[in-house]
Amino acid sequence: MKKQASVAVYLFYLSLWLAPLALLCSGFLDVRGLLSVFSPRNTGILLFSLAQAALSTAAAFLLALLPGVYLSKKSGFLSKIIASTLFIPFFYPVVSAVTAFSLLYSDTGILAHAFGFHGFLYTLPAVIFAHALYNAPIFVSYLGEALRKVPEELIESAKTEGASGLQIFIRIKLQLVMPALRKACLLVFVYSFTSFGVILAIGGGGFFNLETAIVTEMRGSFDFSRALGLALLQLAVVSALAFLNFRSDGVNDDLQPSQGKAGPVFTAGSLLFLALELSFVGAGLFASVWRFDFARFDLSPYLQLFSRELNAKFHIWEGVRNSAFLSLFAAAVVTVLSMAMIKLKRSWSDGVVTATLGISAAVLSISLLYLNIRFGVPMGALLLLGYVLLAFPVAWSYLDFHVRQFDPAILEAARVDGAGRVQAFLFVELPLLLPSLAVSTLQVFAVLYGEFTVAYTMQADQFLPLSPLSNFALATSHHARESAAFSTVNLLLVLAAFLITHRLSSVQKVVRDNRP
Amino acid sequence: MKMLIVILAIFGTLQAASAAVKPELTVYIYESMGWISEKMAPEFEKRNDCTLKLVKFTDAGSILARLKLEASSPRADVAVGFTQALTLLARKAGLLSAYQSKSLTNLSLDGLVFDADGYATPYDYGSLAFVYDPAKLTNVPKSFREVAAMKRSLLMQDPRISSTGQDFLLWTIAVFGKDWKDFWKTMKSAVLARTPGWDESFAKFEAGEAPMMVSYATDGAYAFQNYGAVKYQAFLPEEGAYIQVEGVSLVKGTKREALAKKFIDFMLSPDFQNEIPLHQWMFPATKVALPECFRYALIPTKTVSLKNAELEGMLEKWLIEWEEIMK
Repeated sequence: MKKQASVAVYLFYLSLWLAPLALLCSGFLDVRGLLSVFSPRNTGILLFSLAQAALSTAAAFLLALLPGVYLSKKSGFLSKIIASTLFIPFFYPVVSAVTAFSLLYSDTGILAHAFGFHGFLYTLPAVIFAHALYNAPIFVSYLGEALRKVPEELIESAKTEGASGLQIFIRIKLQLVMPALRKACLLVFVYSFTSFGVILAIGGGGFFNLETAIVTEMRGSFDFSRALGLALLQLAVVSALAFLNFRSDGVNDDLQPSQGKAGPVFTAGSLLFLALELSFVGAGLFASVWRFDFARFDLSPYLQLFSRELNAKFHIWEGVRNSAFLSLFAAAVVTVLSMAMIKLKRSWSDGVVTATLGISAAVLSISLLYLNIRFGVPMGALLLLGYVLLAFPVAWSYLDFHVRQFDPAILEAARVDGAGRVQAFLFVELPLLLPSLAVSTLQVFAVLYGEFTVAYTMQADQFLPLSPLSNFALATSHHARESAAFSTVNLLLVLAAFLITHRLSSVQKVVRDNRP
Repeated sequence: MKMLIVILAIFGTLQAASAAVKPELTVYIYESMGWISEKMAPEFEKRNDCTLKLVKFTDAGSILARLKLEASSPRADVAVGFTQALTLLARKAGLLSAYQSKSLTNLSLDGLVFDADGYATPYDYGSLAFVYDPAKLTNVPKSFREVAAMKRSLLMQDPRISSTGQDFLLWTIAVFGKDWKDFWKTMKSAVLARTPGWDESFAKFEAGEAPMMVSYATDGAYAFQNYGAVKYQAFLPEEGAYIQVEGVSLVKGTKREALAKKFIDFMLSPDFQNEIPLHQWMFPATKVALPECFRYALIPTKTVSLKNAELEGMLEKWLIEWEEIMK
């Protein structure tokens, strides 16, 4: 019964993704478009996409190695800052990341002025490095947690048997952390593989992966058939990787660091990691208040955001309010759906959810729009659906561990006392899971608040001004400085949400520790 | 009898209600044409007793993509902003209807009508140019070849995504003819970055990443009007300038054909054409007085162009060939 319910629910979830895509394909995909996938040009694009993603993943791992080990051994202030960098891959907007990277590493950037560092931006190493900076915190988090789980007794026994540090690392630690590392590899690989903003902006138009090729087919050649062929190819590759590789562990931030010192090498490596990551975030913030041409601080663009004229034209604060409410509502829906689906989880469920990361956001948006064009499905409903589909893997990834680790003995005890299934859920399970649900909701809120592609394609500003669209309108109407200031305001909002989730996680840990 | 009176009353109310609802005209424009909603849209609505719904897209290419999606049930009545290349693509896809506007007289430049069949009616034009920072570039190049000799000095828009970038590519094809690929093999090293659109190019240009960018000959006019000074300069290569003409088109399948045609005529009226220079930063298609700041705009003396017959069916091939060269 439960197995049938699982299959039905996951099939329904898949249909939400695939039905609009199938409809779009029925309207525009033909044999020519499908066969073009095998052309020398597209084969080259696929190979480049795979190669750059592999190199980016390797670079991210190397950058994360030392701080990951440090995180497993220490729990002080430095560790907390390292752990907080997990905000970057999931919540730091790509637009802000690209601006910050250019500010730091361009020929006229900060490093060029300070150290004469030239000719780096718009090269393949720059793209790989940007991906590494963006995604290394994922490795840090997974590696740190996995190393913490290595039982100390095993290490002590091996030492007693005469094993060296290197032997212990290769034969014990590496084997035990491999599942977590594999999962982190997959996530980072998929994010780099499907990257768009970094490839386009930091690559300077000189590099083409599948995602950029899909967009240029749609906007340059207007060949939807070829674009859909490429989109299906991307989906096939990511689905194959997801099903071959995925095993669920979830991220548990409750584990205490293992015993042992973190030597100076690990500390130095962690400090370098933090310098790179925080400069990545800080540069964008700095650029919004510093006038390079006059060498002084200038807050006037921030004041302009409150002007009546600008708000009448661009609906700045109305956009903030609408984005906040819509994102919060969608986040709540996503969290409830994720929890329900996790309870019906099977061994292949992670593969299903991860595979959907392979669907291009641009193609998803156009698929949903096509539903409105063909069948008159209300735009508001499609906008909400788009938000839910995009954010679902984020909520899933977080809630998976917390929902599945819930002690069934507690529910059993409630049932023995006479509580029905619904009562046990409402009065026992739900209150205990509430901090986790709140954290998940806020995380999804932070992701959705800055979402642009779906909102822009749905033309949401026709019926509901939203913050990212107001910002885009500012930027394209010669209000670049006000747009930069507005980006910083939105970034601070997202950062606040992330910090609240951190605080709630601590509360959640206290609740768990004090459970009888 | 009473029932009959009730039915007649309801019917009469419905008739009156439908008569009171104004016809709505849907016009697809690109983002920076939003100024139309301020003064021009109310004027058109007043003259024609209608409601004008302006739907904004990133650029004219996005408008074409949307028309393609809606081909089976078009929602737009008018599409604004199609260049020569985009009009050919839209015609080929069967998305437009022809309309020869009687208001298309008193043109300010010969050769503006790039579609003789009336699938696009020109409403403004501009000349592409190289814009440079005089503080960084003291030896100003005079030709395309001299630009190509300057390593990592030019910001351009990606022709695979941007209509400005597309027209830049077409400009070089118009200049060099069948040797355009050889030219781009030398030009490749001069390009620092290709951006998705003009705004991204300008942001990098202002940040000082490169001394030159592909832009428009009216940039000087814009700078003078908004900042009181012309910080950046423009130049046109000696081979000739490329005129980018923008057109307004009737969408095939529109249910408001008469009103749509009136809108096209309206865009050629003196009231609308007078607004073009200070809002579009382009030259109006018809002869109207230009504002004072346009004395800082470059007026081309020599131009190059491509005929529709040369352009038809070639754009996709050229884009792929260009992409191959630029790898």
